[in-house]
Amino acid sequence: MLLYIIKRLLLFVPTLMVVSLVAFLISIHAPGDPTDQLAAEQSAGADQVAMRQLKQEIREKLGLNLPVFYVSLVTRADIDTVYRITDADQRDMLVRVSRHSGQPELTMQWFAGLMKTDSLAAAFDPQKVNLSSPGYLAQVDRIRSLLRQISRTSDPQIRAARGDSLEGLLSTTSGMTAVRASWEQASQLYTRLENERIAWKQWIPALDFHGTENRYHRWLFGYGNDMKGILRGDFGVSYRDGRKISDIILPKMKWSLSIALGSLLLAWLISIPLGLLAAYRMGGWFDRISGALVFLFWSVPGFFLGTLLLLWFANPDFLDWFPSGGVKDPATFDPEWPFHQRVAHYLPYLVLPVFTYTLGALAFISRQIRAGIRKELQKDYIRTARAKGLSERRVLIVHAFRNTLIPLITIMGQYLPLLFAGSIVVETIFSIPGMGLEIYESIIANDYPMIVTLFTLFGFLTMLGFLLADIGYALADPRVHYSGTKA
Amino acid sequence: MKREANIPYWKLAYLRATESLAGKLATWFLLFVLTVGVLAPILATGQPWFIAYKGEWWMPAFTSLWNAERSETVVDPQTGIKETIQFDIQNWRELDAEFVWWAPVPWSPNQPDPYNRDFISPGAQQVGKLPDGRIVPLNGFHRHHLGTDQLGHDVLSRILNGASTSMQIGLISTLIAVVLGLFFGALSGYFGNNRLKLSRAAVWLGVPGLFTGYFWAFHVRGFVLTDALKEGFLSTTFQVIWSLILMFSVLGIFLFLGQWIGRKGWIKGSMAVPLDSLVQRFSEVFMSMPRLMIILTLAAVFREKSVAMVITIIGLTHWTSVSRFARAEMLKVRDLDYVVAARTLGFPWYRVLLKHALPGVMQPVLIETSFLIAGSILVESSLSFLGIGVPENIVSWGALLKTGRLQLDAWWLVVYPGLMIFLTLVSLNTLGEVLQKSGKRL
Repeated sequence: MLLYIIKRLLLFVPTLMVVSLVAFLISIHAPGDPTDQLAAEQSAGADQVAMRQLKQEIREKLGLNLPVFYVSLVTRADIDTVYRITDADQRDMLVRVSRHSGQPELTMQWFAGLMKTDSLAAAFDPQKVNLSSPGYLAQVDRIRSLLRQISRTSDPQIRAARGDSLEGLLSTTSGMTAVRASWEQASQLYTRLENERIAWKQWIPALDFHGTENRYHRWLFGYGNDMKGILRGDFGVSYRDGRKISDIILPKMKWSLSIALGSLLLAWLISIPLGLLAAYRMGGWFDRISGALVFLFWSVPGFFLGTLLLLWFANPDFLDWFPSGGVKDPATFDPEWPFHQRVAHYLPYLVLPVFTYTLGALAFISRQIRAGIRKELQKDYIRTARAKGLSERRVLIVHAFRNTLIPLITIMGQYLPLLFAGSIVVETIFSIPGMGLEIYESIIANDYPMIVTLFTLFGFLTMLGFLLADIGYALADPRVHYSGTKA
Repeated sequence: MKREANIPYWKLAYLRATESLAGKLATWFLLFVLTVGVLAPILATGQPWFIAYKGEWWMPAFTSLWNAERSETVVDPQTGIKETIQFDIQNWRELDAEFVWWAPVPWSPNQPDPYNRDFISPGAQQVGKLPDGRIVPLNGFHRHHLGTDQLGHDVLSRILNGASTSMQIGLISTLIAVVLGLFFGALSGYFGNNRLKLSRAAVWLGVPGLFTGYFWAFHVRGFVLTDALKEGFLSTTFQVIWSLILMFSVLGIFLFLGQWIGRKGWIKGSMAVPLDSLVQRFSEVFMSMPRLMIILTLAAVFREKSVAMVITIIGLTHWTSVSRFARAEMLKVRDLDYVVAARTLGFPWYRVLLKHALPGVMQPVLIETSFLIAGSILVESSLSFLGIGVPENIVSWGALLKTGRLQLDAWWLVVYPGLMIFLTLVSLNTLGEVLQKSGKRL
């Protein structure tokens, strides 16, 4: 048994690696620039050039200019340092251009020229050429925006069209000779890219090795003094506010855990006697009514039930019994209160979410219990027990119920990650500051250190749940044992 | 395959489903929603079915199905003034028409009614403008029977058109999940870990074959696929199928070469491919990730939202349950006498698998699809409720409920779309239960 557990725990490692890597890959392709928010916080009122500088620094500090993994699968036509481009749109555009042309070096030269033109245009000061009429300024702005679009569009036709209009604008805008010269150089390179295509190159696979200088390695083992790496218990910092992820998660987990535990406990406490009572007179009125109700509850979407509850019981126009969201009233709440007083303060806030959560869990668990008992009651040993003259109550509780426990244990295992993850829907509806809401918000804000951490954490909990369920099986059913089975 | 009295399969399923009252109600409701979903663009539209205006006859509701931006010019016979009517933006109510035959629900889902904006409740005073410019209370047919939202969209029209979104997403994503799940589940169940024997050379060539196939089909063509996702469902399907064909042909060529080399005797002997373990590990990774979280993340990653994207994501995350189910069924079926007999008779493996074993697996899986469709619709509406699902310009029940959640005074935005979701889910689940109970006889 111990050997089996150790073996299973060892199997966690590759699965977790894959899960975290998948999360990594997904979140890296997320749109938007994660540094926007951090840079905006650190620099109030800095100008454009300073802002770019700051963003670049943040990127380097976070390791965003590093490759994702130890090795990457590329085509022969790909640029091998494309990961250094941190803007997702630009990266996308570059990969497309270099694959189409089959000329990675030339593509990179063209892009460098384009970027040089871009920075020249950004640094261009109309005051210096003594031209600051509104029309002229608008023309300069138009040039800047065209350059921005050219370096970010994935459509070659749009790129060509924007290039043409830029060409025209530059020839009529006086004073921008440096920009114009640089642009002409770049566009010559682009013409070469179009004319000297090597189409076969993109069909040849290649592996690029990056060594330990990659983001995944840093995430695992840490880097420098600030980052310790996930193996030493450091999950990194959130992109939204720069706080440590473990500091953010722990208090939130407390909320999800207490709501989920409370609700599940309630659900079990109700559904076990419900299932037994229904089985006691199978086919009777109680069985049929409870069965129908459970079936209906099972089909109610959580978000509909939650919103209905808000509509009925937290509505000033109807019944204003409970607060409509959050967990405390900031006006009166005092963190210095003793525990029981704090709990009493939270309670009215938790009634509706716990009810929503419980109903969903109740329907699910009850259905399993009902089906389980039904199946057991048809078996031979029950007939024997009845034939022996045992009371129906004893047959149900001692004989049948013990055996229905086994599928129930699997369900408990499945619920383990949900205990910590909370419910995205319930927590979003009732604005509970738990893990569910955190998951939702981190996804909306592309906070990918948080997303990767949550993915890995819940992947781990899911597998742990499966393992615990298997161990529980062995404990509940003496016929199940793992030591003799070959793996 | 002959069945008793040659009743077609779907007819048999219908008969079984409608044996009980609950099954009848569920089936009828689902057929109703399906019909409404298909016909919604002409059932609930602000464009009239027939209109006679200054001597011209049009059928705007029908012609705009294929020509949405049609425009016509009419000349007033008395004054001689020319007037251009752009069909998709024309306010047909303000035309002084000789004859109008309105659609049963005379409001478009995406055209707001400027006279009834800011959450007009179903029972409240609603107003409209007559062709002569008078503002009068709306009565009877033209009322917004289920109220309006903030901009003045008709809720009834949105609900009817939302049925189309839900049905599309529910059915197509389930189709994807079932095809993928059956493919992986049936293969891994049928062959297990040691029944698929290939020559050693074929196995060694198969690995690079799979890699090359994947590389060409999905890595090199990656941009084609992402662009197709933005374009729509048809082009996505087309490109994905094209990629799959490419991948499997490359794999096939490699395997064929391997078998050929193996036959020549350079590398003798055959070995078993542990297909079952491979598929199991693969789906374990899928199952270790919280499903709603993957879906949310994927939905947030794709820059351009589209229905095709939601369908693909749900389909790709739901296949594991079909696969597990199909595998378990296949494990039972593959050792049944008639399958063993087919194998003993020396039929090739694909014939035994497709003609003998698979039909036995199909029936329980098809019954299961009812629950899967319910699951897909639930996920879609949850996503839309959270604001990550379908794009804004596409009406869906979940998105309607979201607006209701933000404006609780407008109870009609919560209750009606919520009821539609609830009833659809209950019906699908009932259908699944009923079919499951009569499954042995199906």
